[in-house]
Amino acid sequence: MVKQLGFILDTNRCLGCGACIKACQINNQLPAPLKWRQLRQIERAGDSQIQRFFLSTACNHCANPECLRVCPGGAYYKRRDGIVLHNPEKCTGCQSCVGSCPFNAPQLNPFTQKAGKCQLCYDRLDQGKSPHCVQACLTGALQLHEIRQTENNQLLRLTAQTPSLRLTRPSVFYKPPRPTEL
Amino acid sequence: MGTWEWPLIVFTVLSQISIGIIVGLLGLDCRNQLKEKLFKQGVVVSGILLMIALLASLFHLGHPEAAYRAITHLGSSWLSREILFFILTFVGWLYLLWLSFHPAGKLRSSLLITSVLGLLGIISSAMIYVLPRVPAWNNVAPVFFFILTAGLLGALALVILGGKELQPEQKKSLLNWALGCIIVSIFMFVLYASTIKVNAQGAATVQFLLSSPLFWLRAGLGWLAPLILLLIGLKSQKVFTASTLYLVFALVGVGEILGRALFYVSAVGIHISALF
Repeated sequence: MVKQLGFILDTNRCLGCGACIKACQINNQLPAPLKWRQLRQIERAGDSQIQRFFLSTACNHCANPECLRVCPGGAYYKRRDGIVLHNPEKCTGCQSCVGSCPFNAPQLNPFTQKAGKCQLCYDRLDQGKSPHCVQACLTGALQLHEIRQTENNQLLRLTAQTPSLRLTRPSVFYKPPRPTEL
Repeated sequence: MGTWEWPLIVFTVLSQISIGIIVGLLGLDCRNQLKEKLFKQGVVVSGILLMIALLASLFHLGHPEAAYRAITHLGSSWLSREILFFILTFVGWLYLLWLSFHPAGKLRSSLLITSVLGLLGIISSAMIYVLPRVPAWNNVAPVFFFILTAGLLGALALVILGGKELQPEQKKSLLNWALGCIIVSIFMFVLYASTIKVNAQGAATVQFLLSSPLFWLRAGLGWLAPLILLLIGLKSQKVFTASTLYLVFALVGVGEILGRALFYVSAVGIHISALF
């Protein structure tokens, strides 16, 4: 059976420490300021409640990836476990993927002039290890799961109301933050 | 906001003029037999423009030496299809060049095939920008804009190239065609601006355009001034002087280059950052 691996982030556990980002940057030898994982602080205030949380985001390894569709060199492919991989050998640096991904996942490396993105540490997964970001997470907020076997009725997707963008079907889910009474 | 994509601006505008010239030659040939000199001039200029355009497109790539790989994903990538069609157009142009020195082959069918390939190349170019992530582009407008640039600048280039080789009625029909393209361009822009405003990113694009001095420069130089010059010239039935034709071509050329630059700069992409 075809799998779909994806991240699940428990926003109630994430401290916003950035250990996942540093681990990714160091282990993938990304030159600053290039990052394959980003951290954003979100704050939503209502009349009596407030939600303040961190979102650690990387490539969503979408079920229908835009990057794979638009790449003229066939540098992207999707493994049977759902990981969307980018092959730098085939990349011409045309930036089609950079411009088409609604999540800003692929980025141009200014030194190699080629695109790059989170590869979900596929080489480590093949050895039975966790991705660097998951291993570095202090609180266990960031986890890797087989998405199709996960109860996801309590989970949220990072997505947009635009139907055409929902079609990319990102494979990353979030446990929603608990609101705090003011 | 997008960035100033000069290699792409040069590539798209020049390749569209080049294909516009070929289509114009076909149109003229369908009405009256093309004069040999005009055909040769048109084909040579079209080819030079196409070669400069193709060369400029390489500068957009991070690795121009690997450009050949960009043709390997024809199944879903419009960029791959664009490259394929432009290569085929270039092959068609080579045959046209051979015909211009050995006028024995089937001229009209060769012009037709090269025109169709070129137009498919232009449509593929435009389809690259039809992306769900960029609402201002995610519609049919890029296709119309690109084809209108080809029709407008191609016709004007042919009028200048034709000179005395063109009969007055041929010249008039080309200028009428250019006038029609300007009017349709203005109409298309108004329609485009009013329809993309429905979402936040599209509204940001329209606001950027309308508040940019470059857009008003583009509208004045590329639409309004040539429109007035062409209307006055065609109405008075006088023969356009060469200097007026050069002026109209220069105004429209600057307008189209600015318009294309603004097309890239004004694009606002959706950045998904919310949980739903």
